Amino acid sequence: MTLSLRTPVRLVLGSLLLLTLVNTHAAENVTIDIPGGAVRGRVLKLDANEVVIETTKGKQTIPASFLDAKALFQCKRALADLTNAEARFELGKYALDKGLPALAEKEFEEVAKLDMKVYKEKCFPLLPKLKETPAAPASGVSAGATTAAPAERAPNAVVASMMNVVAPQVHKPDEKPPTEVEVKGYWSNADFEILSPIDKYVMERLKADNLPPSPRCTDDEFIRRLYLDVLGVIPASEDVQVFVADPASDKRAQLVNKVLAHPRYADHWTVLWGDLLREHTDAPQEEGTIPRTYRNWIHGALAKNMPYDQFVAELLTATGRANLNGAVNFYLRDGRERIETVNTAATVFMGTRMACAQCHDHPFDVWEQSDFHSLMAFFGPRTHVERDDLSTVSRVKDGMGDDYYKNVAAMVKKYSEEADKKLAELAKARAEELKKNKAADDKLAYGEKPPAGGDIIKRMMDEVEKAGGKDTSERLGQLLGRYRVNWVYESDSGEYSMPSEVGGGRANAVFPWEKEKKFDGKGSRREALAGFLAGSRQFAEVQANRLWAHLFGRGLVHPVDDFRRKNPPSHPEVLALLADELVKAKFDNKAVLRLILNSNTYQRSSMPNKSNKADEELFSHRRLRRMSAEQIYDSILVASGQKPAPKVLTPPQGARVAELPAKGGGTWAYEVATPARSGTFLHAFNQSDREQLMVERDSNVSITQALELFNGGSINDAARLDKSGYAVEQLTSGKFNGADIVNLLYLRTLSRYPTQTEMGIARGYIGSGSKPQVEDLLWALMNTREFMFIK
Amino acid sequence: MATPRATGTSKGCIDCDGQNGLGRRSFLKAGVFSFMGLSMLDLLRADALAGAGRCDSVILVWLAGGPSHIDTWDPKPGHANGGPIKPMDTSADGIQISEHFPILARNMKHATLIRSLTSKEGSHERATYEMHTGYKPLASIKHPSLGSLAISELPKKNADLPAYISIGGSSWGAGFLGAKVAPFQIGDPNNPVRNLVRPDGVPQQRYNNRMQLLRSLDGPFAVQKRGQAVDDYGGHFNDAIQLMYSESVKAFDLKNENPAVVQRYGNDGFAKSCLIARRLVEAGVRFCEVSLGGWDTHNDAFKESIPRLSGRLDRGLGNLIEDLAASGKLETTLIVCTGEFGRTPQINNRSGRDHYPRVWSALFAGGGAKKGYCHGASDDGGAAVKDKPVRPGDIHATMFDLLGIDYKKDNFSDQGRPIKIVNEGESVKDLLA
Repeated sequence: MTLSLRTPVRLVLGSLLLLTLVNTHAAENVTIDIPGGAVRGRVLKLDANEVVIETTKGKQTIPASFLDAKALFQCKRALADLTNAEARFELGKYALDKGLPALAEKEFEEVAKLDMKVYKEKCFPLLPKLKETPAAPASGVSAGATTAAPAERAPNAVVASMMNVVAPQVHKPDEKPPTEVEVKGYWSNADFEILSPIDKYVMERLKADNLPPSPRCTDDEFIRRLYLDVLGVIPASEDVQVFVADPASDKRAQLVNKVLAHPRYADHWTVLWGDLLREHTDAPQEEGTIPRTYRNWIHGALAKNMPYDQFVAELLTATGRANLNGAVNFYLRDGRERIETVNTAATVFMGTRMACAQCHDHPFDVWEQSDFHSLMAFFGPRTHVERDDLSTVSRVKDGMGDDYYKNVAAMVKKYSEEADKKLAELAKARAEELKKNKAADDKLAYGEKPPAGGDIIKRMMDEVEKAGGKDTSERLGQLLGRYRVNWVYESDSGEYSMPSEVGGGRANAVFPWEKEKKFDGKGSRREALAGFLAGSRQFAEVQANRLWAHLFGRGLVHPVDDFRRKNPPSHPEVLALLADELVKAKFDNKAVLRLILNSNTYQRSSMPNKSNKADEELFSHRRLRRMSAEQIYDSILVASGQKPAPKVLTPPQGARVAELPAKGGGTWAYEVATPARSGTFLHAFNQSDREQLMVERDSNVSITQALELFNGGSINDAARLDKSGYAVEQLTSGKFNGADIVNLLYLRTLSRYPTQTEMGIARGYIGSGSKPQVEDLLWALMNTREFMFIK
Repeated sequence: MATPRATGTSKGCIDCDGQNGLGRRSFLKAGVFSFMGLSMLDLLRADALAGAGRCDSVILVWLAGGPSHIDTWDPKPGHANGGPIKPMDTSADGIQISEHFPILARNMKHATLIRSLTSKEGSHERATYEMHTGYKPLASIKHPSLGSLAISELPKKNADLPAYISIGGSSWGAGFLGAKVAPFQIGDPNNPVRNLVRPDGVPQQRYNNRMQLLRSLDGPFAVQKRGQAVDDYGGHFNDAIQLMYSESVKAFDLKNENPAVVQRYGNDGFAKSCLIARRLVEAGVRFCEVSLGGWDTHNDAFKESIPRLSGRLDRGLGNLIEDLAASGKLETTLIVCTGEFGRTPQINNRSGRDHYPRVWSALFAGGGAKKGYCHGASDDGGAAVKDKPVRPGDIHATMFDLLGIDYKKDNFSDQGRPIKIVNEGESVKDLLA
């Protein structure tokens, strides 16, 4: 046993277990230690590729590379004739070669018992090797013992004493072929199933790296993860109940389809795109944006599942006013700073960090300063952001707003009859003007400057000033909520110059990633750029990678905005596959999502095993992630019944599914003004500040968050009956008994049924189900780490 | 295992009030906190480093909107640009400030004025970013704020309290330095203990029961060891409870302050922030930011806006300097008061002044800065720097210098770019006592 201390820790523990089993149980069956568990059964086959074991649950096939040396030895031994001295010598030699001297020694001892001749001839010369196995000491315990010169060592005392046995006791061990079989392990054949070509490549890589994957996640883990990843919120408790009970073998694939079609999809992905495009509710006035027009545009595009190439083209070629075309905020967001536009386009659309090249050649990438400015030449100085006159649009929902002007007129009436009359006229004129603007914008050809518009309000204010004085005019201005509505359009003249450091002179508009793509001088430069992008392989790869990263918490290319030769994808074949799918599906994001979501790779458990715990990039197990600010916020809303949770499943006829209606109303996180103010819930959980381009959220945890969840308004109101805790009201209405209440609260918060122990604790706490105790249980469940981490 | 720790276990040691020096209690405390990764060594290091800089803590008093230098720190009596606000003499020889600063005037002997600050950013957002980080805003990188930079270089002084606290106003975060050095936010100075005390309507006994229930329900997931972040968050569970039940938390709550003092500061939110900041710094917080907004006085500045804002500033900042000077704590606490830019020397036709970064003023008090001193000057009309120009980065460098921080050191951004603590700036040795 002293020897085994010198082998790596995972072998040590395993060997002890194995020896115990072999010695005391007289091995009626074989237990194979696999990472994270053990499989018990009869070994049917072992070759270089796989091991087949017969268990009570049927045949299980495990790729050989996922088994460590000891497990492989166990399999070999299970197939060997243990009554044959030669065979046992081979086993011992195998163990010795694999760095398992303790096991080898055990086999040699058995050889000695079976046939002393074989022992003397074959085992004896190998005895010194039992001591020189180069296994690194796993702990400091036996480190000193490895230093002595192996050849000079005497054979182990046990073996030496056996050398003196004159007549070896030939002892036939009482070993029968395994009959009793059981499975203690946690792998099943489904875990290695190739559900999608993605799995093939990911598994090949895992096999090559001897990294056994974690098994598939359970149904309740899957449904919660899927809803959070795709819809940004936990599922309805009804859906969990129906899904878990559904016996259909293709139920996961069915659920994927239904979830992808749910309208919450747009709400959730609006947040991601809000971060990437730095959508800002309260942009400074000078930027001439209008609150929410950007967000509404993004949300609208996602809601109709606009093809991704079109999405990008509409942003890049956006023309007109924000109240008529929200996409122009792509430019308005940065005012006249076209450098920021170029950075955004390069980073978000092409996964390239080019910002450094603005002022100098990129220090560790291929980009030269001239590349950056060649890209600039697609915009400047032809893309214009022009200052419009003051306009009021904030409360005009559809951009036309006749009613709105009636209201404004009513507001002004009290200041002056005359102003009122003027206003009525002007309001009508304004509505006409906007209609004309819209019509003009719609058919605006490239190079045409849109007609000026929006000065009616200015005239209105002037009129009011004349009639009612300056004070009145200013108050009117406040009432109206003045915004500059700046114009964006592309003119057909003007050339961009290279900075003097790179020689100055006219900069040609050249697509830096594929320099053969040059603007040919005809038509719109921005349209040309949109076309170059859509035809670029990297453009499709970047978006496919972003979708992958959103689901896995890590890109195939990581970070997602760092596509370059020296940062290759972890799985090039998978990236190619996904990009192909995106192009084939005409840039339908959901096609790629569907492909990924249906893979076994996506469906891995987040529970790591001993071997894959340290894996960060090969997707051997699900990366555990904290919910984003919006995910927690929205999940609290639905857990407490303030908002209805997404529900896509219908219970089978006659099935009894406990339901708790939600109150409705309230505001989803994506609707809240961004960026969130300090001291608010969303801010505490690291919502993007929408200033810096954030390709990945800061998922750090903090003391502020813990305090927010312990004591903050959102969570306590959610749990409080007299505030908004609708769920508690329903639960304590007398309709449900104690066990129902506990089950429902677990389903609503953690999307699973409680374990027996949990049920015991929770039932003990809520007693007869009085309101404060039920509130406490809801509060506690929403404060558990299981609630905020996506398994 | 990282389940929340019982709240009572450290009660006996937390009443350590000895912020000065390492008493026996500190040793006890180190034992209690060592599980949180804060070893005895850290506390010893804190003690050893306390003498490395001339000061050990900073209060940044932020005047948002860009206060008019001529109408506050740099009056121009007799000049056409001077405006209607009159100057008054102060306890510092030859230094005059606005007539609306009576308390500050009697405390100018403790302070240093800089009247030659100059920058280029005239937009609120960009200038505010630059004054808080030393860098111009970029979409590609988020720079850390002064407070985050300071606490990432200095060990904690009080293990219970966050090292960087921002009271009211906007958030200036940790940027690429990450959440561990982000400010702890107090959103509302009228309710500084928001989230630090149990919610209304939940009695202590029930709250304890909740926590107990949480602990038993949280356990099964926590022991599954699915990721480091789970353990980290468990640590924050503990820290949060630690903070809630710490004696130090009393520093947040003005109920524990002498009512006469509270009255002296008055009911104004800004003045309350100053008082809370004073208490926090006394309790061992390294960096506090308080803010007073509304200085963007384009219109009608002189009748109401500036006098009102000045009165609020005087009462908050004036009392803060006076109290810290009286207790001797001003020696080791640096107060920096500034906004994002000054305002045009000419009064516009709407009886206000517009954005003006070319010359403006800031105030330093305590922490090893000179006393009763004025550095640099603007020209007669307050339109340009006449003498000893000071850049925003110089202000930052001087602050870090006083804290004993090597401000030329590089930090590394999340993209691996080396980013200096202070980009363009040198410590202004002339400001140091």
